[in-house]
Order: sequence, then C-alpha cells, then structure tokens
Amino acid sequence: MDAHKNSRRKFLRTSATILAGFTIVPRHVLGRGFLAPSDQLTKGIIGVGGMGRGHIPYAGTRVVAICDVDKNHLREVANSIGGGIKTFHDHRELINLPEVDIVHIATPPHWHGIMAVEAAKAGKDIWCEKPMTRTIGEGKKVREAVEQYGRMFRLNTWFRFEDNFYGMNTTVKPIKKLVESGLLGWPLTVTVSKTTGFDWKFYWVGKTNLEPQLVPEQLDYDRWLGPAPYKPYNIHRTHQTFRGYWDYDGGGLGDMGQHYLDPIQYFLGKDDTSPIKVEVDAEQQHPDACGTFRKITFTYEDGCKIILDGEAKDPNAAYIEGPNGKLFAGFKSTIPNLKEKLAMMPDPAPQVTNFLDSVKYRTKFALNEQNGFRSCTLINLGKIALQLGRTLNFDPNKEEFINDIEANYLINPEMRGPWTI
Amino acid sequence: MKNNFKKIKLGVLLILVLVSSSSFSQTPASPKEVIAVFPYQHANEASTALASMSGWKNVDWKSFFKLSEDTSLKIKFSYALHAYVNKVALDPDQKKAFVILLNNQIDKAKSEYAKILFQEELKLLSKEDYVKDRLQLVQPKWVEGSGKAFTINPNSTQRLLDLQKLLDKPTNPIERKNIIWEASKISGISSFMFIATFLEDEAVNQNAALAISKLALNDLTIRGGDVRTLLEKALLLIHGEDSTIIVPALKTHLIKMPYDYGFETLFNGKDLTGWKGLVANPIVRNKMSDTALQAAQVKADMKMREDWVVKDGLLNFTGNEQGENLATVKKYGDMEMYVDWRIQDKGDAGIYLRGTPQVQIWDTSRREVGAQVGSGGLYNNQKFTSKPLVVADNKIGEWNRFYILMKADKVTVYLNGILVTDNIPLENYWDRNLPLFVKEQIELQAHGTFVSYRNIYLRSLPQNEGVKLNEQESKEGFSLLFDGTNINQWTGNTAGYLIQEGALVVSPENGSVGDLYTKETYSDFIYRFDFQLTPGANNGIGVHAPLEGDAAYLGMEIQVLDSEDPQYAKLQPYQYHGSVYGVMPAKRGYLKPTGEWNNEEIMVKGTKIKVTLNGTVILDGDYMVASKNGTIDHNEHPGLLNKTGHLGFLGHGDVLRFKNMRVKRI
Repeated sequence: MDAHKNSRRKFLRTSATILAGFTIVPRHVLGRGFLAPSDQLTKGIIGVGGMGRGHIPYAGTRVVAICDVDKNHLREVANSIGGGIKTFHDHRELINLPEVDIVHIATPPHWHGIMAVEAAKAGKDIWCEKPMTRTIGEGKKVREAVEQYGRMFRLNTWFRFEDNFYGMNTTVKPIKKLVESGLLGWPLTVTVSKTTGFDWKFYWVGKTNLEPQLVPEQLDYDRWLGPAPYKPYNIHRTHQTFRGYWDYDGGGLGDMGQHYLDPIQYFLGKDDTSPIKVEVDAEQQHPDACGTFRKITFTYEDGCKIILDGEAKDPNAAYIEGPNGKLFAGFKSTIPNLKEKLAMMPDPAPQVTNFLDSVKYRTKFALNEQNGFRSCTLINLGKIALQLGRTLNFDPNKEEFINDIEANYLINPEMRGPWTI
Repeated sequence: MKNNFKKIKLGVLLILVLVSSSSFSQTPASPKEVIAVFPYQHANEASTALASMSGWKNVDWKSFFKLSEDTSLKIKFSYALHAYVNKVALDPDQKKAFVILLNNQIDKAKSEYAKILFQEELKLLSKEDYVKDRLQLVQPKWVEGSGKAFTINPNSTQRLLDLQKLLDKPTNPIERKNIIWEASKISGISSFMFIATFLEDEAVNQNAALAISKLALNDLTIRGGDVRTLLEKALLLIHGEDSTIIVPALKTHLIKMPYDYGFETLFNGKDLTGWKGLVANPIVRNKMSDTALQAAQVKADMKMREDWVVKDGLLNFTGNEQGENLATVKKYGDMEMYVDWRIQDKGDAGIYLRGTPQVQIWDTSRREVGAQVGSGGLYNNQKFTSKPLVVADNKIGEWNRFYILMKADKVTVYLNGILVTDNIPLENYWDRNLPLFVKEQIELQAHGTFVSYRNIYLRSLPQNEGVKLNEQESKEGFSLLFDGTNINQWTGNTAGYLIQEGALVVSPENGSVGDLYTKETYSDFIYRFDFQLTPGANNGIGVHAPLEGDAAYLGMEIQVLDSEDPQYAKLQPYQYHGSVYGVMPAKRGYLKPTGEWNNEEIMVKGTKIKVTLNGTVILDGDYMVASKNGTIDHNEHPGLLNKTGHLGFLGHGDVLRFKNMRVKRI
C-alpha cells in the first residue's frame, strides 16, 4: 500500500513493464502464506486519466475493471493491463459488477459524490481521490450512504498518518504530539503559506472567455460533465486542467487543500467539527474560472485559526503559533530540543493506515467519510467564501451557514439532469 | 553516599577473598564461562565472575575481547565488560591499567558495535563525575520512601486488567494496536510486561517495542533481567522516525541501568521454576538440620506437583483439601510485588509474606466467615488491623491485581488500584512474641479452593538489615530498643511512626500525633539515642512516664527542640533543648546545625539526672532539689515523684528522626 507514494512519479516510466507481466496464478503454485491473485481484493477504477492510472499497481489488490468516458484513456490502460480486464463507459455498470470489492473513484471531483453514493448502495467499499466532494451537500450524502450501507471508505490523502508533511520536513506525528503536549498553549493559529512550507499552486487558475471547440471524437463530453452545468467544450475544461473551474473543482485550494488542511484538522483535534467563521481577502472571483486569493481565515469556536496565506509576505511566519511557543517550517521551534522531548512522549492513538486492513477487519480507515467530510468542508467553505467574496458564518453542528440563503444554496447547488444524488 | 561506599568496599573485599581462595584450588574461569553469568540479577551473583576476571592474564583478556565480535555472545560480553568497568572504577590502579587496555581495544575492534561499546565504557572510567553518578544510581532516590505505591492510580490498574481481558476473545491487529496504545499510557512494570507479550506478535510488535521502550526510559524502576532481555528484543524492532532518538537513548539506558533491585518474574507462565513445596514454618525450618530439611523438601516438592498445576499460562491451585502452600525458592525481605489472582465461588486463598500469613483473598459473599470486608487485609493480625480499608474486589471469576509493598515489617496493599491496607505491621503468626522475620519465602496459600495466579512480578528493595550494638556497649549491658527495622519494643501509637532508612520518623502527616512508649519500664538507667531535627521541630523524651496522660507532668519530659529556630527566641530557659521541662534548664549552644544528627545520653539515678549532648554535659543535677521550693514553671509536676516508668517520644506534631535507641538499667 506504500506504492501510492511513488506511483505518480514513477508510473509513466515503469507501469508498462510491471503491468505487462500480470497474469492470474493459481494458489497452489505460490504455496502457503502467499496471497494468490484470486484471493486478493479486487477493484474497479473509474477514471483512468492522469490520477486513476497511478492507482493500478497497489500491492494487495487486483484491478478487474476500469471505466472512462474517454475512449483513448480506456484503450490505453486496458492494453497496458491486459489479461482480459473489463472496460466500461458507464460507471454504474462497473459499480454493479459482482467481482468488484472496491470501487476506486479517480474522476474529477464533481463526480465523486454521485459515484460514492452509488458504490455504497451497491455494497462496495470505496477508495476516493481528494477532494472528497465538490459540495458540502454531496459530502453529507456520501457520509450518510457509507454509514447506512456499512461500507469502508478511504479518502486518498495520507499526510495525517505518513510521509513527510511538505515543508515541515517531518511527518505529522510529532506535530500532533507537540499540539497535544500543550507546550505551545491554546488556542493555536496555523498558517499555511509558502514560507511555512506549503505552496498554493496558483497555476490552477481557469481561463475566462474560452472559445468553444469541437468535442473530440473519443470523449463523451456530456457524460464527462455529468451533474455539472452544460458549458461549451474547450479542452482546457477537461483532463489535466479542469481544476481551474468552479464547476468541477476549486483551483489550487481544491487541488492541495485537503492535502494541507486535513492534517491540520487532525492535529488540532477538529475531526468532528468545522469552523464557525470564514473570512476571505481576494479579488472578486470569476463565476466560472477559479482565481487566486491573498488570504482565507478559518476560525473555530475555541479560537483556533487556520490561515491560508496566498501571498506569503512575512518570511518569519510561524506554521503554528500558540501563546507559549511557535513552530516553523522544517520543524524548527522556539522550544529547545523539541524532537527529543516529543520522541519520549507516548504516541498519538494508532490509526488504520492500510485500507486493506480496514476492508478486512471492517474498521474505519484513518481518513474516512467522517473526518474526510470535515476536512473537505474546509475546502468547500473556502470556495464558497471566495465565490461570494465575503465573510461567512457557519454552524458546525447543523452543517449550514447561519441565516445566509445565498451561501446555503452553494451547499446544495442544483445538478444537471438526469443526475441526482 | 557514605553507605553506598561501604557496601561496595565490602563487595570488593568479598571478591578479593574469593580470588585468594580460588587461586589455590583452580585457575580462574575462562572468558566464555565468565560471560555466561551475565546479565545477572543481583550484584552478588556476579561477584565470582568478576573475581575470575581480576585473575585473568593477558591471554585471557585477549580471548575475552574476541568475544565482542561473536554476535551470539556480544550482549553478554557487553554486560560482563560493563560490570568489570564498574568494579575497576573504584580502584585507581586497576582503573588506570584497564583504561589503557580498553584504549588499545578501540583500535583493534573490528565491528562498529564493539568500537562504540568500548568508547562508552572508557567514558565511564575516565570521567570521574560519571562514575560518581553511577554509584548513586545503585541506591537512587526512587527506591526510597514507600516505593511506588503513591503513584498507583485506581483507574489505570483496573484499565490494564480490562485491556488484558480484551484478549480473551480473538482480536485483529488493529484492535491489538489499540490495546497496546491504551496500555502504553499506563506507567509501571505491569503495563510494561503486558505490552511486552506482544513482542512475539509480528503484526504489532513494532508498536509494542516502541511502547515498552518509552515506558522503560521514563521509569527507572522498570529494570531487571527480564526487562533487559525484552528491551534488547525491542531495540531491534524499533523503526520509524522516532528510532533515531529512541534507539540511542535506549542503548544508553541499558548501559546505565543498574543490575540490582530489578523486577523478577516469579511465575514464568510455563512451569514451576522458582517455586518449591512448603516445609513446616520458618521457625521449625530454621531448627531443622540441613539433611532433614533437604529430605523434607524433596517430599514437599513432590506434593507440590500434585497440587499446583500450570495450565494456559496460569498458575493454578487445584483446590485439594490436603494441599499445601506453594513457596518461592528465594527468600525476600523488603520488596514490592504485583500479583493477579482469580477465585471461584466460596474461594479462599492468600499471599504469605516473609513466610507468614497473610494478605487475605476470599469470596466476599462468605459473610459467615466475615469475608464481606473484602480481600487484601492482613487476616492473622491481632494487635493491628486485619481488615482492609474498603472492599475493592472484582466479581468472582474476574481477575484481581494486588500491589504489595513490604518495608521492614509493614505492609501496604493496593487491590485493583485501591488502597486497602495502609502501612500496617504484619504480626509474627508463628510466635507472636517474636518480631517478623527479616527475610523469608513468599507463599501462595492452599486453602482448599481452586485459585489461579498470573503476572507475578517482584522487585527487592534496599533493605535495612538492622543495626547491632557495638561491642563496647554490648559488654556494658546495653540493649537495643530500636534496630532500624521494627518497633516491636514500643507501644502506643505504633502505626503512626514510620521507619525510613533505619530511622524512626515522627511524621505528623502520617498520623504520628500520639506518643510512643517503651513496653518496659525503667527506673535508673542510661538511655542513648541519635536524633535529627527539622527546622523548628519540637518533641520530647518521656522519662518515668505512664502510658497515658501528659508525660511532661505525669512523668518527666526531657525537651527535644530546635532551640535556635527564630520562633523560639523568647522561650523560658527551662524550655530549651535538654531541659527537664519546667523543672531544670539545660545549657544552650551544643546542638549541631539543624538537619545533622546529634547524639544524646540521658542518665537517671535516684533523683539525679544528667544529660549529655554531643559529648557535652548540658544538664546535671537533682530534680528533687531543683523543685524543692516549687518548680520554676510554677506548675504541678507530680511525675517527679515517680520511681519508675516508661521511656517515650512525646510528639508535638513536628517531623523528627530518631535512631540507635539503646538503654541500660543501672
């Protein structure tokens, strides 16, 4: 399951050779203790573009079906896997395939909610790429369906349990221990900016005044859009660059937001709540194309703040600042010998970090439909505040904005027929 | 510090004796034989090995250092080396020679392991301060006082039992990781040993390794042979980002960890190793000849195997009506121990300490025998309480955990984390006129009902063996009133006086409000004792005192006072230290600085009294003469007319220490 770390980097170079040799081997050939491919969990991947392809070679699972609305994508990946892989144009057929254990959703975000709910209903466990859902409303529906049908759900970002956490030059674990130790005091302000070690990737901006183009023959553009409003085709809306448009994602915030913010929610202990206020400092956003921001500030009820700083003007900004101390990029701190002190402290609660364990033992994955919904809500709150260009007040229990019809509409915007969730 | 040094010197002496005696009969043991002894549990277990090492020639050392490159022996090798380094550190000449030897070895060492090891040991030898630190570690602060009892948390003990119970059903690795994590938040040996059972579980052993390492790093009482072995296993399993900090810290910790006063696992979960059958009682056993005892032991051991059965990792008593107690092979003095027990309906059992009954275990529903008071009391006590403070038993069929602390003759018991017996003397059941045995076997009682035991961990504590009279005083006819281990010759508020480090501590926090008197009475006598004051402390020595009433008036009180404390600047002369309170003033200015030990002698003959403080007579006269025209404090002192009475400590609510009380009738 560690493969995902390397997968995107190495995939283009290595996938062809790895996948070419893949055939089903009878169990007796492998002997005792080996998991025959036929005993492995099976998965079907929806969306085998840039993201979905990176998820094929995970250890412990076997891809049995793929689905894409771009014929070229489908053919390329089917050929590279070989071995009689089933291919689908309609995600519902893949979801309902009896031999699929895990449905892996690697489409653009505007499809995540619908597909996850359908997969849950079909009794499948779900691996979903980030951000979890494009809207808060879809997230609630996913959470509800996964619970109702007793499914296991993994949202695919992993910094809350492994890997160096960007500019911190350490995993999130010692940060969690530092926060829990109380050494910094309370409440805390976390600043996410280039100077604290996080890049907002503002190249994910949409283009305005796109020229309509002919839809390429291999692409089912109508199905690609799905629940999103119909807008004339332009290649920039799809495939590698869709993140620049509010209809499908949310720019740099949509791309990196859940990677950056989910661990913060974890170490601040906010997995079961949301901020009460979002403030934005940004140019008025284009209704279609995502732009940049100077600052987005989330405030929790207890005074903890998360600041997304798009300008990074202060070179001395602390990543975490509390009344008693600061933590900077590279895990530098005002507290001496911090790493040594923290190493001796008890670890944070163990997390289920292997999705196959989660599936096998029916135990929630470290990042699941509950806390994943909450960290995705941070992104969606930021997106709505950016789109409306003003401060919003949120009720974390009701999970809606307080006396704000305009903002509340964006929790559950209308879907284009015939798609519903 | 001083005491430590004496002990160590004694140890060296012992070694020298061993060396000289062995050199006649045999050549020293070979390096391979020597290192087989390590790691040892008690310092004396290694003395023979160390003596051998002292007798080694160059060729032996050469083959010794070669063993550092043998992976199967290098751990034992490092312990042996370390023990020897500790030994030579005390002798400047040997140290010098060994420093040179080690220095050479660093260059010769082939493996990185050996290089680092030699360097670390060399550091110990060449840094004087470091050596001093190590000596202090032998008797560090954390074994003083009353052991660990004060940090026991009821919730955490029960929590640990609950976690252990979760394993009764099959668990998956995720659940086991959570169990380890929960347990890792609970400090102490029980938690350490529980988590260590997961070291064999490949799915979670890395979690377990990290958890026990941190527990050990944070608590030096977690030590001993088994602890070492487990930590060495853990060392190899620690991975991940913390390993760069934890691994070196743990290596250093293992090097510094003292070899004595470690936990022993009394029951290994597999067989009856370390246990034996019961032969008679301590008094009878002591009178038996060696051959008679051995013969009886063989029989008793056979009987033991019928009555005590190891099954599924539990030590079970079958419930045989004719069954006998199970006894430890070793004898134990001061110690702390943990033991889990589980009884069935109508169950009855107990733990014998110092070969003496018993910390009680019984089914609390047995009202007909008074079991409703709960388990954990000192059942056979008559003078002191035999009942637990509260009922803390878990349901029949559930596991219970005792923490038992034994210091001198006093017992403290926590049952499932709740204090049930608080520092109560255990009476000598076998002969109630005798003090409790200083060292004896521990026994699990056979009382005709099925009982299971598990998780028995015991750690000996530094023990005061008791002081003896010096030859001079012994010849002169003095007798000891207090040898630092018990207060059997005293009466009154005996439960309220603590024995710490061989001293009788008047500690009002622990209820030392009432007076303490000798059981016997003294008419004409010489009474000698040492005392240590705390700032402002006030106490008094009762003379010719009755057991009840105010001894200052119904007997005499020889004042004990921190006279120079500012609060006493304006006292009357007859109120300062050494005065016969209210009757005769003593000379001031002969107390040692507060906090140092003073020695004092009080001699009473007829109506004459003489008080000598630190070698200076500070009071000498006839108290009847002094009060002929009325006492100077104008109070009635009817006690002056007493011809005899008890000696006593008259507590006034301040902390003081007394020791070496001895008396001679004249």
